[in-house]
Amino acid sequence: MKSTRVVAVGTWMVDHFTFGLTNQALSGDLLEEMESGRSAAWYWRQVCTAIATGLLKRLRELTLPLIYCVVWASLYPLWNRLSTVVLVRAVPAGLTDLAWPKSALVPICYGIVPALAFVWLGFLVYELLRIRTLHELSAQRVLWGASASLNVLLLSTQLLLWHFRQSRIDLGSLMRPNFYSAFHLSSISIPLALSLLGALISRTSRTQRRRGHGRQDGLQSA
Amino acid sequence: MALRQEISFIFRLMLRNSYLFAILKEMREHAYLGEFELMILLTIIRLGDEVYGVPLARELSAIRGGEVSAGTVYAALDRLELKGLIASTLGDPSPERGGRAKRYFCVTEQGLKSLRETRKVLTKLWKSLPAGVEIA
Repeated sequence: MKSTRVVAVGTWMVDHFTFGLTNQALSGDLLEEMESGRSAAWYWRQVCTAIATGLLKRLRELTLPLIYCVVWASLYPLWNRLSTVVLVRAVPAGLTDLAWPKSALVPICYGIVPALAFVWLGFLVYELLRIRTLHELSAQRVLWGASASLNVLLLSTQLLLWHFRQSRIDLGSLMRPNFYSAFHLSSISIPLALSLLGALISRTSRTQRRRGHGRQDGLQSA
Repeated sequence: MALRQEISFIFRLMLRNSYLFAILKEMREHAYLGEFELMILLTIIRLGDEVYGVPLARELSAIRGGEVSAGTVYAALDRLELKGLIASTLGDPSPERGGRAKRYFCVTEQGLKSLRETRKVLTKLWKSLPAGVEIA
């Protein structure tokens, strides 16, 4: 009974923490070996090795996106200067005097949109640079990445607003030119780097999932 | 005189760079197999059809004379499949495997080609060793 419970926990861990495409086959193999008389110690050694191997593999896969995010986010001051010049010229005079809730649109549009455009441009450039996987680019994948980056950016914006608040949250803070540079690591904006990383991670996991499904489809047709 | 030197320098630079690109192209076209990958491909061929994780890991453990973890084998199999050197198909789920299907592996034509190239290079290297050199 105890052994069954232990194996169930181990199987669940292999299924969820190995980050691989073949984790179901792997957990099945480990169960088969247990049935043929392997010890619980052997089983747990295998589970731990599989999780560690999967984790290392995932980290290796994330190295390039992480480096790219850092490099791209370091370009933000340049983009910020450029967008500030363009947007300040473009703000219609009447918009700044609007009453609530319309007044909230101005800081959102002029604060979040340039940052989001910077992140999405970074995502698009990354996709174009990955020539080998360019054929996998689809509208669904672009939308998925854009959505993930938007979610991370909105969450970090909320956290930054909490950080800046005195007595109440002031949406006007979004209009600060250095709003997204508040949390930085040697001029690299952390919220923007995380937002871009969110898009790239969702892209990687979706690509892997599709490759996995592709294999299963191939099997079924065979 | 200075202009000629400059042209000569640019020409040499271009030549060196094109040589570099040729090396990179060669590396891309001939991605030689690693030791573990080579062992896995040969073991799959040796075991023939119906080879899946359990017999593969057992055979590798027997050949290497030490335990080979299933996680390491699957990580390498995953890599080989992404490179197109092996292909896999799912079998039927069975109760002794907790309702999980076996994944059967076979070497693709590209995998066989890669094996042949690796063998050619390794054989050439062994033969190129100076006479009298003993590797204990």
